[in-house]
Amino acid sequence: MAVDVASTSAIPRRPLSYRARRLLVYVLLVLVSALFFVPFLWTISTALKSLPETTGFDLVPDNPSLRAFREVLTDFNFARFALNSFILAGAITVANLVLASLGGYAFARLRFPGREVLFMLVLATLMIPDQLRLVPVFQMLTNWGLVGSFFGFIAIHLVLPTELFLMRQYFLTIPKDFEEAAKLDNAGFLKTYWKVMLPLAAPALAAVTILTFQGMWNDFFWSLIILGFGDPDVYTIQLGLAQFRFQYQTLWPQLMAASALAILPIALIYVFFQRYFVAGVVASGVKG
Amino acid sequence: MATVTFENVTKRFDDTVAVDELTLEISDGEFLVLVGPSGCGKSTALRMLAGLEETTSGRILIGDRVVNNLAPGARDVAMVFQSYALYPHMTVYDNLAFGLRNVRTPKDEINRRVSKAAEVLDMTELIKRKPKQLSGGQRQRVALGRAIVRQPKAFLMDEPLSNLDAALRVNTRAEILKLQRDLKVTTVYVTHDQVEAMTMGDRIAVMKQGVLQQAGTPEQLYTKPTNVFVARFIGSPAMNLVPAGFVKGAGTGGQLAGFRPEHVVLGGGNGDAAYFQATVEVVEYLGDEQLVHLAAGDEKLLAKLPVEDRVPTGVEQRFSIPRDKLHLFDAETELAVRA
Repeated sequence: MAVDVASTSAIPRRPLSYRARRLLVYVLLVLVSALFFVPFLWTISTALKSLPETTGFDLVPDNPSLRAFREVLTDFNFARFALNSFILAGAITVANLVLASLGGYAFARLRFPGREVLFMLVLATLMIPDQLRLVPVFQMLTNWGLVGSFFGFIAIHLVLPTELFLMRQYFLTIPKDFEEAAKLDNAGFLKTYWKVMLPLAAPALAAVTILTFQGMWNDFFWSLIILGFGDPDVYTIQLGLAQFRFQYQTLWPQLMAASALAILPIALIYVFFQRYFVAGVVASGVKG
Repeated sequence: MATVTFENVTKRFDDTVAVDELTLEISDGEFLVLVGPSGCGKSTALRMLAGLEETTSGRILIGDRVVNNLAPGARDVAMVFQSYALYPHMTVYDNLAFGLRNVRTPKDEINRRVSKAAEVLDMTELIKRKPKQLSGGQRQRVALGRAIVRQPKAFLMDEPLSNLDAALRVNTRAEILKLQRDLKVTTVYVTHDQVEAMTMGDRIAVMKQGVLQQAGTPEQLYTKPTNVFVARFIGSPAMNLVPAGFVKGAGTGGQLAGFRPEHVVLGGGNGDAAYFQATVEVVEYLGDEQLVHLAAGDEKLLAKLPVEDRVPTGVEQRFSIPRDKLHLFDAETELAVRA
């Protein structure tokens, strides 16, 4: 009798086919993850090798050394480049947080003549490739004497259309009740924006922070056009990385060490804001 | 505190008339319930009063002041939203204090008013929490608190109980009533729930498709509905409506006879009563009474009878209605002929 009870109350195991399928899925996922991780691993590995060793295909260096990291930080002006990138990416991120959120709020909530047309124009700029804008932008900045200057670089990135779009989409998802409650609470337009709407849009602001900072930190194209032909003191980190490549030689360990260091701030920001970032991007219906 | 007056107020959204020539006066300290099915314009009327919608035509007065062109904040009214609309990033205290800070109320005064409101609403211990840390009922109280601290001329409430479960709704209903009686603030309360309207309102204004159907005390609406819509809308279960000829001794052709399920009596009734024959289809036992579904030809009727009445299903019986409980309506205009 006791045996009967045990056999009826025991939970039957999942079928073998189910467990096998799950195992397969996990193996595949691990493989795909590894695929994405290999380049990073290769970067670190190369950074720890000596230059002659980089020609081989060994992942593990024979005599791992931090020499390349040291050289990057001492012989090259890496700290300066990093600081430049930080200033530019930081300033542009702040500008976008303020202006894209204000603009996004206006496009989402204010009724004004030509709103839709204007918004379409903003979206249309997303379809114009940077290469097409290069000559007019360069000419404009030359006329204003802003080539080779941080201001030139910042000026053309003050409000990025993607960020404006993202903010607008997010504001659209916030119920109007909050603003109406604020109106009845005697809050004006700017106070409502600052005290009510901006805090509610925190996930979108996090998304804007990551997207903008990452985009500007990694930017090579405009850095090269605006800052790349003058004083090396205004070089950004991406321009700095290009210095490790010469016509007949590339300093692979130094390049990889610098690349690994350059990734760090982005990785940190992503780790910090990731939770909000996903919420922001999902709610805005925008892909990152 | 002040009176609130709608004078021929109309609101159009493109081709749709949401509120049509609404004229209604709400006395100082009165609790008026705007009730009607969804889309009847009750919320739009409230929002126009709050200043959240512009009026297309007509005047709205709070006290003696025409407020049509005043900003919502300048109208000195406080609104409780259906969603509560508590600022999620602020604590309960800040939610309550936000409106006061915006009009530069001195800090001590803010403290005093917020503490008083928290005390009245029994939420002193919640003051440092954020809305997401509160239950539905607590959020509702905070929303009420936000209205109270402002000490406005009028409270506007837009279905404030619809997000609460049934038991809590009954409790909160009583709380809101008590609060309103204590504070004596003119209140306009919007709901689609006729029970809420009947139990809370000093007066009820019934709306349908933007048009005010009838305004009066709950008793007036229940006993003397001016048309078929009000007759059916007020009272639960709804009033039975049949061609007058169906009920013996009720009225003439071209009229509709209306009688409430609770006024139906089993048997012939007294000599003066109107009566009809019907077959019992289903009996719903409710404990203290029974809800009897009747059929007579194409007509489906409801009767609320004492549980002692024997009403076996499938049996045709006579039912009667006391004459003074009978309502007659013109079949064409649907207006009451003799209420």
